[in-house]
Amino acid sequence: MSAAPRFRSIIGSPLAPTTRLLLGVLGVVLTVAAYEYYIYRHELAGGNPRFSPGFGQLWAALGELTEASPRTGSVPLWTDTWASLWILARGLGTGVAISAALGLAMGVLSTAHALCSPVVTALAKVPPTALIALFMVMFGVTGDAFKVALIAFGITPTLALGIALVARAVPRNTIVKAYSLGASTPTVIVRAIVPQIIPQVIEVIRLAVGPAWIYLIAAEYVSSSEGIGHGIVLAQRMVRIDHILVYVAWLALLGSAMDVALHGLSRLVAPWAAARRED
Amino acid sequence: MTGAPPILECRGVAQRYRVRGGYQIVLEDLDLTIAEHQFVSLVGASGCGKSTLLRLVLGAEPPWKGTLRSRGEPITHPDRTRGIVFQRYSLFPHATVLENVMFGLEAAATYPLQKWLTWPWYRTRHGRRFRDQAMQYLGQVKLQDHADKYPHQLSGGMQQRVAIAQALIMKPRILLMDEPFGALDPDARESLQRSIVSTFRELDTTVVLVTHNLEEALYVGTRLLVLARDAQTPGAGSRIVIDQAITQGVPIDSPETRELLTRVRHTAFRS
Repeated sequence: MSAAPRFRSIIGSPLAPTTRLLLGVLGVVLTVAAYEYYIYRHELAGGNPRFSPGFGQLWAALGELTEASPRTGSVPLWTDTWASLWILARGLGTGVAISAALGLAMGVLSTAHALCSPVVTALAKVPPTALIALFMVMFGVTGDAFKVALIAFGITPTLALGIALVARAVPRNTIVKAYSLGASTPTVIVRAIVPQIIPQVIEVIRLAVGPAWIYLIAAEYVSSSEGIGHGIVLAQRMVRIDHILVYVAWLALLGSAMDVALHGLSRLVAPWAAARRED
Repeated sequence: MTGAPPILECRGVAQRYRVRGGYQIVLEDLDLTIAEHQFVSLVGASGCGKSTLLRLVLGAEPPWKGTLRSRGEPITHPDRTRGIVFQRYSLFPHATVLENVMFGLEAAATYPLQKWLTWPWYRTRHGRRFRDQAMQYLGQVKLQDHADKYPHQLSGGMQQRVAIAQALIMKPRILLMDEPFGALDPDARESLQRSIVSTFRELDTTVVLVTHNLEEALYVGTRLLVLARDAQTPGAGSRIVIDQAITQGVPIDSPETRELLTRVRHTAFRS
């Protein structure tokens, strides 16, 4: 009985679930250790401890931010979070709605693709933050409208191009097959193309969530009375690095939760895709 | 049906594709008439234009010259009178086997736009009938036990059988198959060949099957069409060089088959 060869190709070889979990935990531990090392070096060099808050300080900062304000009776972190999420939801919703229609049209109709792709490609290269002033003039300095518009404008071109790409990648045979089964063009789009690209479209949307947060925080930096970006600006003015780090950790957590939620949604609406990927 | 225009009629069909610095002629001067209940095996070396001819018949691309008609009507786009089974991507990955087979029935039912509005009502009313009919066709290809699986859960040969049921349920005038065995291993290939022949005999349909495998073509067909280029004229398109009736299901090593095999190899597969 000879021993099985232990090493095969490194790229793409699968891991045992426990190994995967342990490596994930190791990643977190390494990140924490790296931060602790930064604190250690900073203090060794005689730096101001305000700029290198330890985990105890961060915990205390979290306590401060989740404490109800005596003036208004509300918890700043929660009001900021709800304000930001509400803008983000509207921005993402608008962007996804526009880009789904535009992307699908570009993916399905060659004329729509020829008409829109140069403009959309160019717009995708424009940093939306460069247009903050314009949006403020168009939608008003106060209120959420300009922030919603900035997010929607920021994600739409890339999202539309992504959806168009996915729709165009549907094998031509599948479309011919649908026509040969007596389907009309709307039926081919609604029943043959859309359902099979949904998991990939959700994937593209997942990638757009990160940029959407960037545009939101940028807009809140410029003008806002609440929201996570506003909270960070306040902390910056008072040089509360500990508060900033709490906000950052909170943003990371929210972003990851949205990622997991979208992944779950994908598995829920397209159970066939997850199983197919494992083949 | 004497006097009715044939199921498929090609007159002077030619096709060319744009290549670097001009055009390449793929098919030339092609005349072809296919009658009911024929199982036409279309063979030729790779790149001779068999799949192009199939796409023209399907209506997936327009010919450069000539006309194609089905029952006298010009072919302008793929429609339900001509079913198709491709080598791959014939099935919808997001639908179960049963839903795949029902696709055509449901799609045809939603054809007039006003039916879109009443679709949920229509579906509850006719869903049962569609389901029963689809199960019957799945039984025809012996897959009734796999109705609720997704295509990726089936083997390649089973997927092709689903694709055949999916096409046949629309009762097309003609069933086109483009290298249906191409992606299969030898065992699956052989059992699918037998399955196709028996389905053809039971349902009495008309089939055009494209393949580059000559033995396969001789086994499944009742009529052999061989497509080849004239090697003497450079730049010429393919034409039909052999067109003759054959006996379906005859073993490959019988003397008459062997003679035909040699002849076809000599004319169409010289390299």
